[in-house]
Amino acid sequence: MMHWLIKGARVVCPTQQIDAQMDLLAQNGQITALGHNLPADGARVVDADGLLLTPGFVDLHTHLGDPNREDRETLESGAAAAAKGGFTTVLMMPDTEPPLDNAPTVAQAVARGRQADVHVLVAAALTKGLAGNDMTEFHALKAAGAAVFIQPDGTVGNSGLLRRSLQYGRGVVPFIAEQPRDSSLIDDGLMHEGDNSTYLGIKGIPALAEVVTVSRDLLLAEETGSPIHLSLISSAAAVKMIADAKARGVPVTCDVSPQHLVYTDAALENYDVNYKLMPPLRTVADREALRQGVLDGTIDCIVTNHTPLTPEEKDVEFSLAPYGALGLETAFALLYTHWLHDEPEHLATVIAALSSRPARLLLQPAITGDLLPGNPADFVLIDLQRSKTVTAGELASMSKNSTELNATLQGWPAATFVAGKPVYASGELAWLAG
Amino acid sequence: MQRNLLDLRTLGKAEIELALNTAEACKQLFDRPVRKVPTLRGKVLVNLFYEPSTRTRTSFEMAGKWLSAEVVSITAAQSSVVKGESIKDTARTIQALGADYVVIRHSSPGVPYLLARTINARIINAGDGTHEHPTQGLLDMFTIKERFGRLAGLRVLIVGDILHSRVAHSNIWGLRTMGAEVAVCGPPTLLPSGLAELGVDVYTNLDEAIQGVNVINVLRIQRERQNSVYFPSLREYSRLYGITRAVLDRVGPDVLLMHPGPANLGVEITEEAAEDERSVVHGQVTNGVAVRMAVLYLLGGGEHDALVD
Amino acid sequence: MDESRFQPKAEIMDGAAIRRALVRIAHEVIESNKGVQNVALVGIRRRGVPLAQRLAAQISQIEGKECPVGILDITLYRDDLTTIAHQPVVHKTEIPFDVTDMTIVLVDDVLYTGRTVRAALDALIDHGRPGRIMLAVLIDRGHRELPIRADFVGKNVPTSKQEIVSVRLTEFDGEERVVILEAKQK
Repeated sequence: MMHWLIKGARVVCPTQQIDAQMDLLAQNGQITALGHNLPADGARVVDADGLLLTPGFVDLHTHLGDPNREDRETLESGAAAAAKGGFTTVLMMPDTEPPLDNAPTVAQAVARGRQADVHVLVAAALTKGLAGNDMTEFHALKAAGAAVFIQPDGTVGNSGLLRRSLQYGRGVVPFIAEQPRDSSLIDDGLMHEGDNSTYLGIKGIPALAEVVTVSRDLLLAEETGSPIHLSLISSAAAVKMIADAKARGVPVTCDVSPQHLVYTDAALENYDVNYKLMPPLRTVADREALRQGVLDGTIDCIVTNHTPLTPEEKDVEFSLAPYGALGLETAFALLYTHWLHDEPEHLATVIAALSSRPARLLLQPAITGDLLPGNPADFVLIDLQRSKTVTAGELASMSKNSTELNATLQGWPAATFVAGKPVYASGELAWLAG
Repeated sequence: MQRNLLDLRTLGKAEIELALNTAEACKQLFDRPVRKVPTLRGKVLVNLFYEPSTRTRTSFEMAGKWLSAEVVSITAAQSSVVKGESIKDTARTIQALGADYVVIRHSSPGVPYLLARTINARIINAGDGTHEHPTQGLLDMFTIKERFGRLAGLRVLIVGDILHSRVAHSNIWGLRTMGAEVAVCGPPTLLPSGLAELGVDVYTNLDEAIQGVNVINVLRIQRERQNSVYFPSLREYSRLYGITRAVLDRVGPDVLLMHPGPANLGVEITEEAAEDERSVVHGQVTNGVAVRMAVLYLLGGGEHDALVD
Repeated sequence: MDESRFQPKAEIMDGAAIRRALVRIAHEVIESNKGVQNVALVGIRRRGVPLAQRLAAQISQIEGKECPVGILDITLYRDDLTTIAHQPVVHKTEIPFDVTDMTIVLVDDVLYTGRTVRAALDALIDHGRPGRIMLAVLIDRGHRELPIRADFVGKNVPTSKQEIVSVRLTEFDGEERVVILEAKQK
C-alpha cells in the first residue's frame, strides 16, 4: 500500500486544537505522524503548500438511489460525489426501494457499501416500511450492520410508538433519529410561512410545525433517558428549545443542512424547485440562529441531506416537485463562500461540525473524524482560493438538482483520501488519482 | 415593458400606468364600425388553460382577435397527479407550432415562470393557483380609474379569502404600487401573514373595514375548496362578510362595488347588491378585453426591448 | 430615431416659410374642394396634429367656415412593431365626427416611405367610409416605398436616406423650423 507524506499544508484538526502548517504521514492506511519537517521515509510526497488539510467529512444524512432508483444515484455515483465534496464517510438513509427495514436488506446494503470508495454506513428504518406504525427489529438490524435507526423524512406521528422505540432501543444503537415536523400544521404548505409565501401565493409551513414536534421529542427523550437525534433543524425557536434541553441534561443531538445555514426563503423567488426543501428554508433570523447553534454546539453537526432527484421528477410544477436537493459535492464550498470566507474565525468549528462531531455520534471506532496518529487516514485537502462555477455537466451525481447550479463558489476540495487511498483529486493534484 | 407578464408585484408604477393608458386607447376601438386592428397580424396566441375559465379565456380570445392574431385555445385535461414533464412537453410543442404568446392558467403557483424558463414565447399569467392573476388586477384598476379618474389616494377594500385569492394578491400589489390605500377584510384564518407590514390595513370586522372606502372588491368564496377548514359554515361566513345593499348604503352613494366573478349570489354577495347601480359586477367585460389587448400589444414590442428584460 | 447621433446640415424652412406654406395649402384645399363643405382635417399623431389645427384655423379665416379636426393615432396599424427598438406608446384617436361620405384631408409633417400614410388610410377607413381621402404634408422628402403621393405639399426636399428631416414646431419643440440632420462623423 502506498505511503503518503503530505507536506506543508495548513492542518486544521479541531479535536487536537491544531491549526498550523504541518506535515502528515500516512502509512498502510493510517495516519502515523503529524508534525514539522517529517522525513519522507519511502512515502510519496505531496506538496500541499497553500492547501488546507482537514479530517475527512462525515455526512449523517445521505440519500442514495441504490437499490432500484439508480436513475437518481448509484452507490458509485454517490460515493464519487461524496469524495469530490471531501466526505470520507456517509450514512446512507434507509428510504431506498424497498426501505431498509429488515435484516437481509440491511446486510445487503452494508455489504454493498463496503465496495464503495468512501465509507458507507447504513441507517436502518425506525419503523416498518417507514410507515410510522410498527417498530422494526432493532436487534436483528443492529446485527446486520445498521449504524443507527432513523425515520429520515418525517416524524413518527404516533408519540406512543416513538416513546416505546426510545425505551426499547436504548443501548442497541447510539441514537434514534427523526425529522421533527407536525404534518397537520404543514397541511398543504410548501415553503416557509412568511412574507415570501404571501408574495408567491404558496401555502406556508409555519416554524411551529417543527417546534411542536421538537418539544414533544425532547420530553420523550428526557423521560426515557434514551438518546434522540433530531434531523435537519430549521428554526430559531427549535434551536433555543434544544439548547435549553441540553442544558438540563436531555440526551438530544441534532443537525442542520448547509443550505439552511446559507439561504433563506427569499431563494424561492422565481419558483426554483431546487430550493424546495424539507424542512423549508426560513428567515434571516432563523439562519443566524442556526449558525449560532453550530458555533455554540447546540447543533452537533452539519449534514448534507443529499437528495438526488431526476429532472423528470424535480423540474416540474412547484407544487408537484418533490422536496430535496443534492448536497455532498458543494457543501463545503457553499459554507465557505457564503459564511467562512467572511468569518474565517469559525473555520475550525465548522470543520468539526462536518467531521469529528458527527463521527463522535456514531460510536464507531473506525470513524473518528480527526487526524490523530493511529487513526484511519481519512482526510481532505482543500484549496480555499479555488473558484469554480457549478454546472450540471460536471456534477458527479447522477442527478442535477443542486441548489448551487450555475453559482460560482470558492473553496473546493483538491484531494480526498480514504484509508490512505486517494479517492478524488483535481487540479495540480490530479496525478494522485491516476 | 417586460417580455412576459408573470405578476403585478414586481411591475413598476410606470409600467402599470402605461398598460392602463394603452388599455384606454384600445377600449376606444370598440366604438368604431370596424373594431379590428392589424397590429398582431401573423402572430399566434395560444391560450393554454389547465383550469376551466370561460371568462378569462374568452376575454383573451377576443383581445387576440381584435388585434388580428391567430388565436388557438387549448383546455388541457388536468388531474392533480398530472406530471409537470407533460406541461413542459406541451409548452415545447406549442412553441414548435410557432406560438408568439402563451396565455397560461394553471392551478399550481409559479407555472408561468416554469414556462418562461422553458420556451421563448411571451408568457402571460392568466392565473396561477393562489399566486396572481395580473390581467384581472389590471382590469380592476382600469375599472376603478375609469370611474374615479385616478387610483392614488383612493381607499379600496378587498373582502373575502385573501389567503387563497390570486385576484386579491394582484390587486393588493398593483394598487399599492399606484398609491391607493388597500384594506382587506375576512376571517382571520383567511388572511395571509405579513400584510400589515406591507402597508395594508387588515380587518376581521366588516363594519370597521368599510369606513371611508371608495371601492369594495368582493372575492369569490370557493365552494369547491374545503372552506370548512377555515371557517365553520357558509352561512356564518355570509352573515359576517356577505355584501348586501345595506352594507353599500352604510358606505355611501359613491361606492364602487366589484367582483371578479363568477359570484356566488347569496354567499359573498346578495343578488340585490350585485344588481345595485353602484355595482359593476356585470359590467367589466369590455374593460377586460381592452386591458388584455393592451398587454398583448405591450409585450409584443421590439426585439431590443426584449433583450433588455 | 435617436437624433443625438445626428447634427444639423441645413435649415430648409424657417417659421415664416412654414406659415406661408400652410396658408398656400389652405387655399389649395379650399380650391380643390370648391369650398370646405363636407371637408374635415385629420392630423396624424404627433406633428400632423398641430399642423391640421393650424390649417383649420387658416381655412376658417379664409372661408369663414369651421372645418372639423380629428386626431389619428396609427400605432396599432404600424407594420414594423416587432422590429423597431423602442415601442411606440398607443394614444387615443379622437375623431369627433362621422367620416362617412366626408372628404378627409390627412395631415402629416413629412412624407417619406409612405408607410405611415398607408397605416393612416387603414385606420381611417376602419372608422367609416369617407367619400374621399386627400393627403397634405409640410415636407415631401421622396424615397417612397409604396404607391402613395400627396395632394398638397408645403415643400419638396431632395434628401439622402442617411439624413433625417426634422420638423420643429412650437407645440413640441419650442421653435418653428425645418432642418435636415446628417449623421455625426465618427
